Amino acid sequence: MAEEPGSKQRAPRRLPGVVRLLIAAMFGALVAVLASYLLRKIGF
Amino acid sequence: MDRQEQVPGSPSPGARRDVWEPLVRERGFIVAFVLSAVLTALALTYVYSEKYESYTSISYRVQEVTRFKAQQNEAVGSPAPQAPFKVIGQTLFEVVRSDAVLGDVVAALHLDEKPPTVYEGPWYKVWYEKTKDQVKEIGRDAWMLMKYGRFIEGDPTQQAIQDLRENIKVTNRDSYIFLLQVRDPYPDRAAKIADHLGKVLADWLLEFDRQPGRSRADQLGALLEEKRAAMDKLRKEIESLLNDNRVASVPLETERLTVNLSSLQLEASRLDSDIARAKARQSSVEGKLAIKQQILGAGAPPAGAAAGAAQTPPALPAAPVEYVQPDDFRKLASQQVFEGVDLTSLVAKREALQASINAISARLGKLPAIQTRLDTLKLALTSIERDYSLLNDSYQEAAVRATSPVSEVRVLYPAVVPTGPVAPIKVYHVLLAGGLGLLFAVGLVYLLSYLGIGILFSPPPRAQSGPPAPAAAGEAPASDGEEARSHG
Repeated sequence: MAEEPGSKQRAPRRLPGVVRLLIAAMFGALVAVLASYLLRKIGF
Repeated sequence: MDRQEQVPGSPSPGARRDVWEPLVRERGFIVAFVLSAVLTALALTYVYSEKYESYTSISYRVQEVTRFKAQQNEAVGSPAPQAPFKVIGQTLFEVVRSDAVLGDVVAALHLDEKPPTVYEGPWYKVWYEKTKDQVKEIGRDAWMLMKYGRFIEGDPTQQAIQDLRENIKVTNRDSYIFLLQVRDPYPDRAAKIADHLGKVLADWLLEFDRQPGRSRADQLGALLEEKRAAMDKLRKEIESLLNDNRVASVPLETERLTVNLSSLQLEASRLDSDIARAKARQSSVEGKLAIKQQILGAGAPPAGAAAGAAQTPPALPAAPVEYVQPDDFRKLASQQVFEGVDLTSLVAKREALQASINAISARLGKLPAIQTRLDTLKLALTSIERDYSLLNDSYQEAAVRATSPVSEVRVLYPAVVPTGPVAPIKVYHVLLAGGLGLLFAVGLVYLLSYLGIGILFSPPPRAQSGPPAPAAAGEAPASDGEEARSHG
């Protein structure tokens, strides 16, 4: 029944490093597609 | 000591470090983000088809218009403003983009026919080209399916027109020279399209300029034909009026007839006096002859008349018989005959003269009506001739415009086949994607750090006196190290 000591100060659970890299890559690809679309629109 | 020397209000060196700390801590995420953006952008530039741009210069020439009368163009009741270059350029652009012009170019250059695909080069290039085409095909079908829910077989000509429309540009820098730019996946075809488009544009504008003149000429031609027919009818009517009445000119005829009539009337008066004289002469001769006959009768009375003569006294004094010569008697008889003939001739002449006078009088009586009708016809003819003249001026203007040999637009020189593509420019794509990726990544890091969302990033270090929390299972070792350093 007693609260585990130090549980309030514990850092939130983070995603694994590979998953974080994948998410970064996905966002990066999304930004690249957006940039390409803009450049094609203006003729480059 | 440091705290005492620091300027109040300025951030401490520790605070400055704190500003950069999330970026340093999440540098792996940022690098992955930017690298992914750059590589994806570079890959996309290889997926896109290369575009080659060819261009040609078009000279816009102000056209000379022949006008026989002053004219003014109005728009909504006011003089129409002069068209600035922007309006001219936009008009040319719209004309170039119109289906009429583009359809002509597509049909002439067979742009609606798909060129045969030839894969050449090393195996990886062939594989790449084939894969790219297949991906494009699949993507097109998928987009159509998402758009319409089914596959629609499009018209290749319309599609070619639409593609061409998106790859045409007309630019102008406030001059009479316009630049017509065409982009196409094939460099030689881009030049051909630019050349043909310029030619079609010039022809189209020439026709566009001629068309109003032709329509106006047609309209005015019909009106002129009507007026010409009306004039011919009136002229024939005038001619037949004069011919029927055998008159060349009514005033001259009136004058001539009046002179003739007066001379005839004078002649008739003379004849009347001649007839009167002839009658008097004849009476005188007849009287003389009667006296001679009485004398002759008294000198040798006939046997039957001798008894009567004793009873009725003679009306004339008796004259001796020897005084009445037979020659005198013959002369008188002859003179009587001559006088009779002369009188008859005079009377006949008088009758003929009277007939002429009557005819001329009748003819003179008709002339005022003829003159009135002639004046009416001539007035109508003058009015129609004036209308005809006005219409003819406009018709000549329209005819000049309808046969204008020069277009307002002229292609200065043929388009040059481009050597290098204008799109995609890889460095632009890479730089923009990298820059945008960097901005997004940094913003994301700061935002999530500020909000304390720790699912992606480590939470910001807290100043706490207690022992550090035990590391959660599954954390990356690098992050743990960083976290440990920040806590330390």
